[in-house]
Amino acid sequence: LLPVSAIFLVIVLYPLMSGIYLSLTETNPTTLASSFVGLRNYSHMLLDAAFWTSLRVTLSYATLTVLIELPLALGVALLLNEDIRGRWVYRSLLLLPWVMPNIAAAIIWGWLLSADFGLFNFYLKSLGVIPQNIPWLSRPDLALPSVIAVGIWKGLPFSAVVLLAGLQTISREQREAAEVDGANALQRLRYVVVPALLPLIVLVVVLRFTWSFNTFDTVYVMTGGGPGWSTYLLSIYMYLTAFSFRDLGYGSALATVMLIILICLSTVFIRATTRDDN
Amino acid sequence: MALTKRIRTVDKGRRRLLKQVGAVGAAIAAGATGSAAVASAAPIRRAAAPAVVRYAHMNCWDATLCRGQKDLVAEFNATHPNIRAESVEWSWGNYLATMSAAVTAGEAPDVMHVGWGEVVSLGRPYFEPLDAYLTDDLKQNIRPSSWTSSQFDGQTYGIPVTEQLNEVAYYRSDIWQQAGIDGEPTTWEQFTDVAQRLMAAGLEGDGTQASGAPITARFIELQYQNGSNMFVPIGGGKWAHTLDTPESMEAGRFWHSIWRSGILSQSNLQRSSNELEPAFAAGTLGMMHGIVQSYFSMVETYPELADKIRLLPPLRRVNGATVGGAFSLSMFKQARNKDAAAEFISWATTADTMNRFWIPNGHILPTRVDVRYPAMPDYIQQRFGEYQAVQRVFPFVPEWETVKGKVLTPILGDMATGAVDFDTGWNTLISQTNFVLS
Repeated sequence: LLPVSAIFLVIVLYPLMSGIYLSLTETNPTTLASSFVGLRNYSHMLLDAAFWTSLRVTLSYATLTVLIELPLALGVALLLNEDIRGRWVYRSLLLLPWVMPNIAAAIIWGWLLSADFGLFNFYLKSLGVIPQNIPWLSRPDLALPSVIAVGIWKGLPFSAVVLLAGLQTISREQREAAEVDGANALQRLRYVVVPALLPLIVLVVVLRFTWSFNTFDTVYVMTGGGPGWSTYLLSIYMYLTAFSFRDLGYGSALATVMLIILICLSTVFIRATTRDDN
Repeated sequence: MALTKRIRTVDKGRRRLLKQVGAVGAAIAAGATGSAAVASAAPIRRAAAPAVVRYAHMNCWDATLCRGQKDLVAEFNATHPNIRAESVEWSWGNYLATMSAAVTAGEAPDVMHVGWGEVVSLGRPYFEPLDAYLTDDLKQNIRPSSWTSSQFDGQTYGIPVTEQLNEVAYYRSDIWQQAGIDGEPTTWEQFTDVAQRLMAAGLEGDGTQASGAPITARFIELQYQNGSNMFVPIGGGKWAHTLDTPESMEAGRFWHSIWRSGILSQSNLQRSSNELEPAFAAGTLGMMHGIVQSYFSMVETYPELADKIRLLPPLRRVNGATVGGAFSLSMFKQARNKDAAAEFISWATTADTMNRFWIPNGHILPTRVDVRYPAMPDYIQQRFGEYQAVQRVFPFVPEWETVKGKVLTPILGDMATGAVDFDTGWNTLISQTNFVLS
């Protein structure tokens, strides 16, 4: 127990407490001279339009990512659970987006969606779908959907693989019994598959929401938070505040608030979805 | 007492051991050279160790540039036997954090090649004022406008060595000929007129790098051209913004109009120089506002365009102005040997050193009037000089990075895309700038 506690203390508890303490200070990032300011950074946040805007954008980003990704992942998992030829190849290919480094993926997607030379525009124009190039990442109404799409592309393999593992625990007898009882495919999904997968669905939702809420690298590389406020995630605002605006105290306060929001949302969701079991 | 005695005993033992090792070493050396008598008789004279100057720069992101810096250091060492310069390579990505950590640890380098935005605004507390080291040569030959990057409150925090301009306006003579445009615009009205004629000819009016924070550069340039300083010191270390003045609003409205009229398309919000230069070369842009390096990279990448590339004169309203500034060589207050560091800076900023090491590898503009690019056409060189003469750095307000990143970049982005109208955007700019300054 002692080694585990020591590791936990050094790797988790100390940085966490240090970050929370930093959020109660005004700290010069160069000299690290620090003065205690109590809850001033938090009260400042209440009046900060950038904070509320970035919180709204982050909640939209995380919620839409999970809501769209989950059914897609379940569909992919169901497909890959069938006895199809070359199933192992598809399963391996499915993991490619997941294993690709985030920054590399973001740069490639930035090129694909480029307003000037992007492949998306090239093919859509070649097919006559669009008359002229679309600036996917620089139109406020398209930038957030574009980065959400990339987030889903990146995260779907994880969700699908977890759900696939769950599907494989559902016995053939269970499904056949439902079939004999006259349940159609949709009913089998509703009454057999989903209840059996519920713990894993909760896991996927909580993890993917948390990861999406914390997303930084892909969106920062693709849009830098712009255009305007359209993809200005809380994580980007926190990063810029701490390291670009050089306000370590306020940046830490933003990080602490992110942590509290995530703990609250995860707790509420887990309680709500496991209520029946209790 | 016991501990002191023990230390002395150990010290004596160590000295005895060192003597024995030294004697054995001397005997081996003497044996090897066959001059045992000389080895035993001549006193050992140790040459004075050269003073070390640690020179930090961020120029190794590019192999050519990096080689130039290494050659510069090697040449300095070859010509200054009493000083040894060491190159400390920092990356652009995290140099501020590296610099902060070094200063905090008391391990700052002696000399640094500092970006134009940071010499005064960030470096002021850490850099040694260099006024005592200014020679007549530097005073006479470095452009007056270049000093504005490194001087504040009557003190000089760096010697300008290379210059960067963010908003040079490029056009292609062949494209303009086809579009029937023969005169170069010098005023805002003429610029709009030319851009609309280019658009009527099927081209994008103007291209600019506006992905992220660069969107602010054009905005500030227009503010400066219209006589608005953006920020002014009001004493006691406090600053006030000028966004609520008529000249600032007028410049804002013109900036807004070039976005909303389509002269600047929304595609620009995703563009950096990597996207702009190929588009310019492909002939789809009527004009292009870009950095100095775009000239050099386009001439190298598209040699067929070399004699077609032209530069517009810097636009003028109340006064001519463009955004840019000089990279400087600065000395840290923590420098261990300030005279040696000053010698390095002095040597590195001579016309001869600039000609031999900065200019051939830098792809930047020289700050000295007596240094020129040998292969650059006169009409380009002259225009760059016109830009340099009116270049203005970003405001030195301490909250500048926050205003730029948290207020200007997102709100100007919203105004450029039409997500908010001008009045709403402008009021938000003012209220949020007040919020940051408070």
